[in-house]
Amino acid sequence: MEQSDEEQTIERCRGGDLSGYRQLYDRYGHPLLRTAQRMLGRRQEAEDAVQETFLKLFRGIHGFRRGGRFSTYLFQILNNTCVDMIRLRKHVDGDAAQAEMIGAASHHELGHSLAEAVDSLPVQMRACFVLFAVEQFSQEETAEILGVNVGTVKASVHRARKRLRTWLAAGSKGGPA
Amino acid sequence: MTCGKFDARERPRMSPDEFAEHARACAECAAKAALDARLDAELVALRDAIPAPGLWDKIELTLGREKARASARDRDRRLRGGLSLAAVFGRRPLLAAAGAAVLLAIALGAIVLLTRSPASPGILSRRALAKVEIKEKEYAEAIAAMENQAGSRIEAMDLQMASLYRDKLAAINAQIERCREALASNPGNTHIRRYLLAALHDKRETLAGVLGAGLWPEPAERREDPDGRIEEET
Repeated sequence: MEQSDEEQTIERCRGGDLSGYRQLYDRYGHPLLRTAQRMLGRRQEAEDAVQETFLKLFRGIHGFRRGGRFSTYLFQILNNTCVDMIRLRKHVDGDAAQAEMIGAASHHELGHSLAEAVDSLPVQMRACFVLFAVEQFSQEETAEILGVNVGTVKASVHRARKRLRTWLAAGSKGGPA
Repeated sequence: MTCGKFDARERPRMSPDEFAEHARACAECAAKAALDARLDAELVALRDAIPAPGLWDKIELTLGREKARASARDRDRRLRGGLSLAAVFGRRPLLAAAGAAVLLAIALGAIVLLTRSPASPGILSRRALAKVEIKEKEYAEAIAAMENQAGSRIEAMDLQMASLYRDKLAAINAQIERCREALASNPGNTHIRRYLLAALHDKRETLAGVLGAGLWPEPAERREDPDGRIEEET
């Protein structure tokens, strides 16, 4: 979608036109779902997060600054939604470590596929890595989405790559399958 | 394996050429670079679309409900806007008298309409309903013709008068809206039709007042037919 097309679509959304939201879904639905899946690990929760993201977008689209980068705005909403869901999960499950899937996990516990290995990274490291390396946002955009500074993004991505390289190396030698 | 040059490339404090030169001589960095390339290649698979049949349908349903709720909230706000008339009047005694007169006129109009057909069976006949609908349409057309012009006249008024007219029109619009909602499920209800006609009449008179008396045709006289149903002379 061209920038000007996107602006027109957003204007339609501001007017409450649901077909505008459909166009945004066609453009961003899969990246949002992928990111939510990586952040939450559970498919149903990922779909719920995307649904909630669109609802929050509907309610708050008048707050979106004209001329701003829409994808960053949308992923900010998704990230906040995922963080809220992880917090809720922590509250409901009562098991913080499991809830956040925090990687006290060593490379031996990173899972059988690359996806599982990524899912096993600590929450912030995972978010930085997924947005930067998978969804290909810039370091600055990733920092803006997550509300952290660029240095944190660089360090998190560096550490994530290091862990995943270790996991790949172990896999190539016959572990951790 | 303790070579730190790979991190220097990644940060990056070393140019790709410098690192390539180094990796030719350093097995550790060459192995890390190979793993890194493999990681990048495998990451491509994580960018595949995840099929999500039915997800948009769920989102659309949610947004549709939210839109309906937002419309209802908007209507409530407009209604509250009408009620804020009291607050405006409280601060402006001159307007209070005018506002009281307007409210009294509305109340009297409603009472007159209610008491003129005590024997009403409560449900309009098909013939009477058709006539009432024609009358409503005439009012709606007259209102539509006047509304734009009246809007610019109100804009040009002093703040207090403009506020008075806006509040009055908001109150009438809310009444019209409520009547139409009720009629959607019960179109033949005599009482609601009466309220709606009264509101439309009132709105037209208000708009005519804004634009200046005598510029628009007088509304038709209302009368009842012998069995108590609403009829209006054109």
